[in-house]
Amino acid sequence: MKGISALAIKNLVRNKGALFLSSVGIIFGIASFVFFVSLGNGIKSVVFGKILAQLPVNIIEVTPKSSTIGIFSFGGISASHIEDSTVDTISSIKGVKAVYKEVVLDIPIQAKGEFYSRRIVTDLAATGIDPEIVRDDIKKGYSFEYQEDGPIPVIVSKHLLELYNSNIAQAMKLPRLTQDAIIGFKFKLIVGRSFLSGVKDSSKIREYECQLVGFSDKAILLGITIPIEYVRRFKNDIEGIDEIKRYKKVYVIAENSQIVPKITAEISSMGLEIDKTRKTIGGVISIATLILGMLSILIVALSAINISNTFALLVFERRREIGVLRALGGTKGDIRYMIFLEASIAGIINGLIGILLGFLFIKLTDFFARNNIPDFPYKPDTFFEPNILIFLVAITFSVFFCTLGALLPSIKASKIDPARALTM
Amino acid sequence: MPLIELIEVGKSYLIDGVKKLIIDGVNLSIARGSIVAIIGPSGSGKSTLLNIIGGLDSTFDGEAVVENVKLKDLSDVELSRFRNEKIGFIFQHFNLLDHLNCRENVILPSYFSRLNPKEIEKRVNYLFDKVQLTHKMRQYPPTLSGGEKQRVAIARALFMNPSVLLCDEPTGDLDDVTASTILDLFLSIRKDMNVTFVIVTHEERITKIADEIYMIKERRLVRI
Ligand SMILES: Nc1ncnc2c1ncn2[C@@H]1O[C@H](COP(=O)(O)OP(=O)(O)OP(=O)(O)O)[C@@H](O)[C@H]1O
Ligand SMILES: [Mg+2]
Repeated sequence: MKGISALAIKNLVRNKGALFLSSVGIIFGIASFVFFVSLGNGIKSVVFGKILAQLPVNIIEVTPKSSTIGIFSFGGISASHIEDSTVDTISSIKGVKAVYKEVVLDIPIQAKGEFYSRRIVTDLAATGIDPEIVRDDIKKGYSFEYQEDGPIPVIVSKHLLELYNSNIAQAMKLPRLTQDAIIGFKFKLIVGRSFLSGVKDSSKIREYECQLVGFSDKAILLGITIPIEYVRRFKNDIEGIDEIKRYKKVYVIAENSQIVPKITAEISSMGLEIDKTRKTIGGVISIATLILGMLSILIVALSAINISNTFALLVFERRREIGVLRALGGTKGDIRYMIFLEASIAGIINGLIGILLGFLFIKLTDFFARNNIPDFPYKPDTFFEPNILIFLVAITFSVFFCTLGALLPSIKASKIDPARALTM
Repeated sequence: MPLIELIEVGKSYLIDGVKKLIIDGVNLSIARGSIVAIIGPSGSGKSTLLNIIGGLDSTFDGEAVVENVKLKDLSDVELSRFRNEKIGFIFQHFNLLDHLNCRENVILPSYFSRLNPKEIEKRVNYLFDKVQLTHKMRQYPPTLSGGEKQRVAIARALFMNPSVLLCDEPTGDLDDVTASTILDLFLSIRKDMNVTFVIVTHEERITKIADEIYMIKERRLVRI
């Protein structure tokens, strides 16, 4: 066996030219595999280690699963709730400091107000939210708490203002607005009536004064968000129900960021959806890495055809030599083993060259980025995070496809009839 | 007990679906240590006969027995081992591997055996001395003359101490003077190592040193 191995290496050295040419595809495939997977790895660590770490990482957004299926949701709206009992269970998870709730106001409401001397009446959607979770978004000097008297504090989405400025203002020839300009804006809220569902019991219609006190990412996009206590009050007024039992969403506050993964794991095992943004970003990077990685492997796999052709040609050219080896005592197995070994060694060498080349690309890209791309927030020293596992996988793929390519040629070689090869 | 015995050996090839008989009803008995020459026109089946004796071809009719072993009974692995241990092949065109140096060419048969390095070293030194090429051990075949190449090939054929050397036109590519030295070498090998020679040839000189001469005539082997 040792002798055959030595022979395989000598054969490789002799055929290095032809083999190298046919290996170019594999080498580049491996190089791009190393490049892209390291890139995905690096970007993930920048995004998670630097960018997402800046976010309040101890807040976990929890929604019911069916609501995330979006347009493919079949369960109907009623299915997408988090029950009170579920909230209790979440609260009892170790490391959970607080659970803040968000609820849909499922009572018809309308807003009525004067806006640039136009009287406007419109149906509205509304949610109630725990004031605690949006405290940072309330304008200084205003309060976002439940109170028996005085105007109801309202927050709206930052994006709503954006939407108004970019579309409505232009269409209706109204001036653009800034956040500061409309903070404190007051309007009337009519509870128990809407154009869409009409009036059920006119004796129960109430009218309240509302005041805009802030903008928040946690407010619903098309509508208003109010402290959750008001929702309870409206339901009591209109439906005589003094309880809220189902929530649209809850915000779970962890005691610290380290414990977040454990909590998220436990919550997802309850069949709930967590932190869409975080998961989406991670998912997008993973999928992009996967696709580019697979593409690289595809290059390697297709290159195996090259290798196969080359080995087939070499075997044909070498049939006399193979006949000699058979005459000297080589078995069919010995010949197969020899060709296979040649392919495996070629695979390792191709893999190593590919890794080296990939590494070179990485260094060049980093060098270019350092010197030519202007600084941006979170700009890392390197965009790549290669590791030993990537290298091992790369070598494995290279060896796998090289030997796969040599499979048929090696079988062909072992079947060469030595009597014929030697008398020709 | 003869070393080599062929009984009613025949060989045919299927050419374009038609069975073509090359040799037929060949009987041959060769004693250990003898030199046997086989002559015959081109295409008469001389190489075919050597391949059968050497265990390179096992699809023939009749029986071939070498050193008491019926070759047809052997598997690929057993037959390979038989070739490795009992047979040395010498070819007209030498069949050295050009990318291996002379020493590596000579030890090639050991790759398929279990010889230890010490024994390999001993045999290398002995055989290169025998073929008088010790000084060219590290050279590559393309740098050698025809006679030198054939001497390296002979050293390789003898490496596993075979009982039989099967030589197919061993002097066919050599000039007269060189051919003579090869024949002298054969005689010296027979004397020192008690090797049996089966030599396919056209050369009159070889037939002169042979103990027996056979000719393939109309598919049959005839002693002359
Ligand atoms: N594998 C094969 N398939 C078909 N025919 C073959 C095969 N091998 C040999 N032959 C034929 O068998 C015949 C004998 O071939 P062989 O090589 O034994 O002849 P030879 O006597 O050695 O001739 P030469 O003196 O030219 O070397 C030839 O006609 C050859 O064409
Ligand atoms: Mg011949």
